Amino acid sequence: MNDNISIKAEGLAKKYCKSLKRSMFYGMTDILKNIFGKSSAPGLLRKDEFWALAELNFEIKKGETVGVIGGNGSGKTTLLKMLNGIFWPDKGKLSVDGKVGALIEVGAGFQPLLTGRENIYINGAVLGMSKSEVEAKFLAIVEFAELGDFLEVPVKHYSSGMFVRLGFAIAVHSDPGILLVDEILSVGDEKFRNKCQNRIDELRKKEVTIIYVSHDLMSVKRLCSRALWLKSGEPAFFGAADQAVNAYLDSLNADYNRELAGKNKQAVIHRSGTGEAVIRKAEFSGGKYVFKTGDDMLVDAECYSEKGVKNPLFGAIIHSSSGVYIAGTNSSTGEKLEELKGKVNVRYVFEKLQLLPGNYFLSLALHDEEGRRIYDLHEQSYEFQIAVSAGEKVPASSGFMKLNCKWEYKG
Amino acid sequence: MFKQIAREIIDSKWLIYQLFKRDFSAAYRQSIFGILWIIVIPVIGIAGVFLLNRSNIVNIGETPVSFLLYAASGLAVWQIFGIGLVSATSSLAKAGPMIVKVNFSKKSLVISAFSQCLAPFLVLFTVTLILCLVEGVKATFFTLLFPVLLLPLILFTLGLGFMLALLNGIIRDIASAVSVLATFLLLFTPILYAAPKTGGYIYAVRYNPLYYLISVPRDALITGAPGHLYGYFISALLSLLIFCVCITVFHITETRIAERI
Repeated sequence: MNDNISIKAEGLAKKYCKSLKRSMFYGMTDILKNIFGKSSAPGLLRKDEFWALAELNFEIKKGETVGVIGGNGSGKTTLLKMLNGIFWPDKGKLSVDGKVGALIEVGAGFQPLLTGRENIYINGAVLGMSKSEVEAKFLAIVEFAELGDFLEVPVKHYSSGMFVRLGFAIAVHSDPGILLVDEILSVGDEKFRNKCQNRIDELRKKEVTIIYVSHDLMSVKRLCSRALWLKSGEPAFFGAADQAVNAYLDSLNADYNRELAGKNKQAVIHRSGTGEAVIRKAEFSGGKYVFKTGDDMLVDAECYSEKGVKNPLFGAIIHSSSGVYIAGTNSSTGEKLEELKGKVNVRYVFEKLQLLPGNYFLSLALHDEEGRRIYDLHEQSYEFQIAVSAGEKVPASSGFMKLNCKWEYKG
Repeated sequence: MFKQIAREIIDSKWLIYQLFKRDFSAAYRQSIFGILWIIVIPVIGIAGVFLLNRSNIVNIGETPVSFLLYAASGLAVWQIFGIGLVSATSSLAKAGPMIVKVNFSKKSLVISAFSQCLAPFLVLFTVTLILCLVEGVKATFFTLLFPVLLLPLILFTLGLGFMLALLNGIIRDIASAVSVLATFLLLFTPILYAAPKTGGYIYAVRYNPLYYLISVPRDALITGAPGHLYGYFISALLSLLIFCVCITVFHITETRIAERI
């Protein structure tokens, strides 16, 4: 392997077994085969086995920070465990150059009845530190973990935050050449997250290779130069972090769109009204159910009245997925229709939606000019989603609506 | 490969000590009598057999020294096998959550778990030494060899422990079976009673390597003149073979164990 390369995967694959009993049987037969020097044919799938990771090829340079993204069950943790040497690849070759440190569920191996001090020594030893190393870094670990008076207290009395802080402190002080980080920054309070972030930044400056697994896509963009997107155990994209995150988000949105299309097709319309005029059917234009904040949302409705109604108004209300009323409008403010008789196609154009990411329900109404007589109401019957925009930072606004505010300062 | 295994174990000695300390401290931390429990179980065992013998329910035969010294010394040596094997067998499965999260030497886990036999051994060994002094047992060349004579038993137990820990990682029944087997072997092997000199049972004793591995160091301690040295020598060779084969198998397969646990 080239001196500049930290990790190299060639055709890497890992399989699991769905059945526990069968897994036990396979385990025994594999061990027996290995004992007698026979291959257990790890490259072949047996009954109930599946590839949790397949055909992974990549090279990571020394000092590089690479993100790994993908949905649950996409193989991210399996990949980290293989990089950490916990799991052995069933196929392919994995070359790792450097001492690997892992921030995967920190604190593994802590004995709850023992004190923080005792656990620092034990965990340090488990993470490959020597006695002198632990002793030299002891104070730094205690300081980083902010244990204070709790150093001599059994860790079972620690808060979950303290527990993770201690685990993190020991792990980052083990001086790894390659650091595997799995969702660690999602634990703990803001202060702790910043501290971890700073420590990771320090390690990056020291040219430590970092493999960063996270669902926080913005942090992947910020921290990583490149990212690997895993989809159902297979590499879907490996390249610039920006591109990987965007491709992943586009794919997610396409999945949500398909899901919402199915839901909307099967949805029961909650309907009420006099029936003098009706909304026969309504759908999101172009089969698009997922939008971004600031997008236009188009809804096409087919309306019909046998007898005809004068000056009908077309209303719309948006509720959050938890049923909170957010906003409502009707066509009184726009172009009006003098009479609805027979079939009329109406297009609702919601311009530059200012909704924040989340799922919402749309209600459509057809009523008279005063809004007293409801001809037809489809209550919270059409579901749509506002997705996190790729490339946009975590929104500063909270709640349901984006507030466009400017700040002016004088004096 | 043996060099690699030896290097790994030597490099992990501090880890082994830390894991041992962790399990030992945790076992007695939340208890009032703490380490005293170590002595209670063997004492009850000895007292039970002593009473059964006194009431003529069980015949413990003719022991070379007092029954108390004979039983205490036998049980002291037995702890290495009994406690050591049971602890080692369940070591990997018990540490499952840690094994699937951290990469570290799994051999250290087995060795540290086996070392849990040290405390009960030392307690009973001390009792034995006191009884030897009280009964005026004289030390000989063999008495001084006691620690060396224990080595085959340690290798035998560790070897089996490595293999059974591996199997128990996959099939949990192994640990339960080993517990039952250990109790059976304690009764089957002449530890709390003298070895029979007549009857069909002598064959069962004659071909039981555990008998030689325990009785020779025990007799070296309490009589200074152990017998059955030929049987002991064969058993020691067998122990070495078992240890080498089992630790090799463990070494080859331990990389695949995490995913099965």
